Amino acid sequence: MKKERRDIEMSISSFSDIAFLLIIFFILATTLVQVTGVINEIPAGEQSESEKDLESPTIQLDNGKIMFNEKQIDMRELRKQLAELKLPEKTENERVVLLEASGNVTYQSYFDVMASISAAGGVTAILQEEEE
Amino acid sequence: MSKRPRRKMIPVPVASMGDIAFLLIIFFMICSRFAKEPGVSIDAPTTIEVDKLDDYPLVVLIDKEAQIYFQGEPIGSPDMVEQEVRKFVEDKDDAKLKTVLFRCDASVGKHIFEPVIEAIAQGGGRIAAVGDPSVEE
Repeated sequence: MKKERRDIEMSISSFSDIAFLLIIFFILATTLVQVTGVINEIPAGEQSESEKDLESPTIQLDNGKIMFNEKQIDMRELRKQLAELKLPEKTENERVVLLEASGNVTYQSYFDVMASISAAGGVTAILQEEEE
Repeated sequence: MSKRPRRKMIPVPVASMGDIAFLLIIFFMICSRFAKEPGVSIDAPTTIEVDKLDDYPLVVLIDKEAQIYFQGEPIGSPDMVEQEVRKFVEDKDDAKLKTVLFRCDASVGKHIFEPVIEAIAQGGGRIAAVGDPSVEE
């Protein structure tokens, strides 16, 4: 004898509740991150002869000290001096600011200087420490 | 006495609500951008002069332990960073596509980060150094 088939109905009325709860979870768990920083145009390769002839301003970082054209200054003064150079009005070669780090320099101080150069409209050129 | 009109119950169709909600979930999931450097903690440097940066396709990262990552994967040396950046950048004309998002922990020393910055520049990449705005000064 054949058994009588019963239609089993699935309750889907709570589906939308679950889905909306998931949406609320996604909205609350999402953090909109805006990345901030500085863009640096760091030229690659060696300095050309014509670039060597130009007297580019030099910043030296040495164990927490900042030297601008061999004169020790602080960060605020550095920003002021760089602004006085009016770098955006100059040609690309003249906008180069040499950055040399020696000794124990952390990325924090290096980044601060790079940001100042970038804000003043300069192009950072990294000077490698001479190996002994 | 006038007879009050009998209120009719109008059923609101809710059968499609679930479909709409699931479509919204799918939309959120597709539009989400997942971090390219999962599980790496970094204390970004701070400065007063920061700009908003766009979303760049390449990410180079140096964590507290001085481990270098390229696109979220640990990489051995700055030379390998240069090779990878060059491979990616060589056929690109757009400056945005040549830009490398560089994240580095503020406490990392010069002997670690400087060769990486040099490598990115040598590989033809433009550097977008990530930092937070400082509240000092």
